[in-house]
Amino acid sequence: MKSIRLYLLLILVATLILVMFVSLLKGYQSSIETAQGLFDERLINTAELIASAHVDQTTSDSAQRPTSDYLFFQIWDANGQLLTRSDTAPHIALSRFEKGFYDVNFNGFRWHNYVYPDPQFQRWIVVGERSDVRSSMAEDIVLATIFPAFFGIVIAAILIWWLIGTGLKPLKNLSRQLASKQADDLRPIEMAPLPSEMSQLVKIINQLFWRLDQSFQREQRFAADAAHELRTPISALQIHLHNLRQTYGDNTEDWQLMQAAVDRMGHLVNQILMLYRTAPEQIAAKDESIDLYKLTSDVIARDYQQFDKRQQHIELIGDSVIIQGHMFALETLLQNLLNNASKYAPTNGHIVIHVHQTEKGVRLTVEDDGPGIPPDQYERIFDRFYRYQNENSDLQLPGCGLGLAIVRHIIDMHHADIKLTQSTFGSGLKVVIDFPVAFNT
Amino acid sequence: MMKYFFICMAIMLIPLNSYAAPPVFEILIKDHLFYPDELVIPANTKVKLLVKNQDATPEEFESYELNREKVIPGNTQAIIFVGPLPPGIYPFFGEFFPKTAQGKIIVKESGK
Amino acid sequence: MLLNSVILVLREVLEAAMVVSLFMAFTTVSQQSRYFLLKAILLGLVAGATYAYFLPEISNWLEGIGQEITNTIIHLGIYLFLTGFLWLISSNILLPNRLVKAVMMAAIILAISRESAEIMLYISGFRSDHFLMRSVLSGSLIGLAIGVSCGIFLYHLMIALKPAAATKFICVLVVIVGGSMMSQATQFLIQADWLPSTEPVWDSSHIISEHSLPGQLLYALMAYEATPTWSQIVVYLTSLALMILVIASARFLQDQSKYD
Repeated sequence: MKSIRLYLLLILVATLILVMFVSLLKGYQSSIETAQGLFDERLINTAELIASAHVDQTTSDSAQRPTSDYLFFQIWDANGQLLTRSDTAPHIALSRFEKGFYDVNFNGFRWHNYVYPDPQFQRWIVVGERSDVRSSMAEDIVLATIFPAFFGIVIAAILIWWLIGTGLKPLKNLSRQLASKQADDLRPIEMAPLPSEMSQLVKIINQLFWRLDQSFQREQRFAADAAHELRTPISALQIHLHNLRQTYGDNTEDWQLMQAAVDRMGHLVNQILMLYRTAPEQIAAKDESIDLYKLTSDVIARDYQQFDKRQQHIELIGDSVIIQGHMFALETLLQNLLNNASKYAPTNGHIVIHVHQTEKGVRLTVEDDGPGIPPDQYERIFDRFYRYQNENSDLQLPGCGLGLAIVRHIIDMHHADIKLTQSTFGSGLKVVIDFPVAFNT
Repeated sequence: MMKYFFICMAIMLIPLNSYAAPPVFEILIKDHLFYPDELVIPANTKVKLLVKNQDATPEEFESYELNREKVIPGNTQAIIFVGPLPPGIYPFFGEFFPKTAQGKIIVKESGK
Repeated sequence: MLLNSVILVLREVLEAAMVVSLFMAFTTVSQQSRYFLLKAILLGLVAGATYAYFLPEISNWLEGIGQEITNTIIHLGIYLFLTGFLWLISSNILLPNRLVKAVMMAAIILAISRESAEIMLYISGFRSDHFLMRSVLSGSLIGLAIGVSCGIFLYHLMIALKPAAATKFICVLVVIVGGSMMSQATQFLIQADWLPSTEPVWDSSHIISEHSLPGQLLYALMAYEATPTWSQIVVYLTSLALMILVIASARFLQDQSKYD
């Protein structure tokens, strides 16, 4: 079944048509019969009227008695001699002389005749009426009552269509609410006047949402708690490692590898915690006005050592622009983007950051001249723990694959838009972020 | 199974009583009227009705009592076999113009 | 004029609507696409227009009984396609199947061509008479609406059933329609004098007259005849029995192959 509305419309209109037209037809039939009965009675009356009005018993051949085209009369004597007739009447007898109604063909038409024996003068009076005129007269009367039914059906169909639509509104409302829900929005559905047929459905859906929400929260809390709990032993590990290196000297390669592994573990745990903290449901929408340009230059200044170490050229172009946002989150966003750029740009490479006002808001772009990412990977790299591995390079870079997942969280939180394209350097990645609203200083 | 059915059909299709040419009666359709509107045919005899439609419009010769229905396009003629029938009155009508195109076949014993 | 048009059109539409809604319900129950049915309806209308157009020539074939023979062939064709349909669906073949589709399409095209040709001829007869045309058109419209409504009801009645029951019900109705087709074919053969005309076996016109609305409905559904002849009764019963036999043997063969 494609649509409840269409089904109901079809079946209701079909019912209406069947019931209405069958009863109308029955009415039509009896109306026509009644009308025919009335016409017959009129014919009898006419015959009797002629009998009483015409008392001349001589034969008058020339018919100077005009009648309308669809009516005639003849008067015959008892011997079958035509006494007189109307000008439209034939000279011959059309039926036998016996009281009653007869249908005959004459003059290209079907006639309904009445033969009346006049007892006063022992003669026969024949009155005829054209059948087609009779029936069309009867039909005109009846059709006038049937035609409104046509419009009635059409109006009823439109009304039914509209009423079903109104009746199904709560259902439509529900499906619209469900459709417009964000994937991570697990709040219960609220519908004010809930029809009794749907209350059970909505109740079950809301219970389902609640359970799903609970399990999501448990999962996230578990990851965050685990990461948090791991921080302390990792810090202890780092301290003990440091002490051991002090004690035994750090000239062996094993010490360095171990140090790198422990550092990486610490970074991973930190990133997991960050991912959790930047999740939209964790950060309350605490908007403040932030100068994105200034914030960017602060982040660059703080991490300058990192770029300097690899002699990378970093350039910030733009003006001071104000956006509404979350300070800590935006800081994390910039840190992650710059880290990535620095990581993938070669030694002596270039990183260019643009911050400027656009028609729709504020645009931030970060470009590097590293190897870049093929376009088919653009969507995947936002996945948690996904890291793009370039097959052609044996470059093994540190990282846990959570950076861009965190970026995505922060972008969503600010209702911003992120796009990845080719960098203008020829190779390398260009990250374009559009923040929707901005206030010019 | 199907083959058997076809054989049965073929046997049934063979005309069983094609011994003598049946008498022909003519009926005219003009101005949506049948002429004659009363046709007398002999009882217990198969007759061939030759219905000539002289109107420009099609007409359907129909009779529930005779179990006959045949569309006769404008300005053409059609053959309808009727009978053998027991004596009686068998009304027929033109289904397209039933208000005027009416008639009856009167079947009479040929002796009378 | 109006009532006439209603009865005439309804009688023709009802028969075609029955075949179409049967197949429509079958495609719905067996979850096939229904687009091809629409194509068959349109093709049927084209075929009907062609038949109506060439009717004067067709009538002259075979010394004036071309019309009867053509109608017989159409009815016989519908019967054979319906029988084929029963055979196919009773032998449990995998649906959708192109042969089943073709059989359904052929039956619909034939049914609609026969029924629509008469309606088209009828309405075309009033081209020059604008006064009557109004009655005829509104009557035809009412007849069409009632016929289509009956079809819609039949369709929804069938798809409301459980699939297995619906298929059984469809089979029963197909058998009834098939019998009606063969009865009408016999009628035309008698009219053409290819089958002997015998005296009617009974006369039930005083119970249900063929002139009445119930009589007309019964005629459309199962070719009700108040005064049937022996040949009609024999052919009617034989064709019903044959269809039932086809269903039974298809099922039997199916069961056999299952156990082999």
